[in-house]
Amino acid sequence: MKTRKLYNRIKSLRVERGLSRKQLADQIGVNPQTVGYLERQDYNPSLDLAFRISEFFEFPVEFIFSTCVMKPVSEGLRNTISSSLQFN
Amino acid sequence: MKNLKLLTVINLAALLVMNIAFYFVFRGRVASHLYDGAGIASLVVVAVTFIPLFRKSGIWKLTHAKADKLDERELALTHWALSESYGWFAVICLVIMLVFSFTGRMNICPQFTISMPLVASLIYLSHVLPGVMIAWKHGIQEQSE
Repeated sequence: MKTRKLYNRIKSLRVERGLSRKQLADQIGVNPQTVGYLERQDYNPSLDLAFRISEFFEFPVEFIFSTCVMKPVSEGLRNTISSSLQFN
Repeated sequence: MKNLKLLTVINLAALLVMNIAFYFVFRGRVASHLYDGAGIASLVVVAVTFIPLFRKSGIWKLTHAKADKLDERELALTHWALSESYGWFAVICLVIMLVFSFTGRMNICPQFTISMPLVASLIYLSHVLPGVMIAWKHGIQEQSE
């Protein structure tokens, strides 16, 4: 069975928190090389690992992982701000 | 960055050359130090390429570690490498047996027998073949941050 590619925000979240791959790997219980594979989107994590990552970053799984290409967080934020300004 | 594919080719080619050279040495067909030298030089190449290819790249640890020491990606990769190498090793052994059987039966080369270096090479191959599969699939090993 051919699996779909999963896109994620792991790299941007890790960099934002100032963590190295090794530090993140220790927190989620994998090898640092596996973090590299996840960040390059060369490997789809299991549901268990996806939940461990989402619990570590304290974001819902669907915010970190998607089957579509993910837009930058700043773009979503800009849309939210502009829509709230229109209402006001 | 290390080119693991190139190292794999050099390692396996040196193993083949070593077997050919030692075959002539052990059979005593050619009394020449050239074959001794070629066999020993190939053995040195195998040993020298083994270190960066399997030890320093971490592939040896990956294929020989216990399952509880690996994460889910490494387990999947090791499982794939072991099943692939099992198939390849069976084919290699059967081809060698077929060649011996064929050459003996057809009286092409009746003195062609399984030598000690060939057995040692097969033991070595059975251990490194899963690593060879991983090195070949990934080609370039990325240094971890």
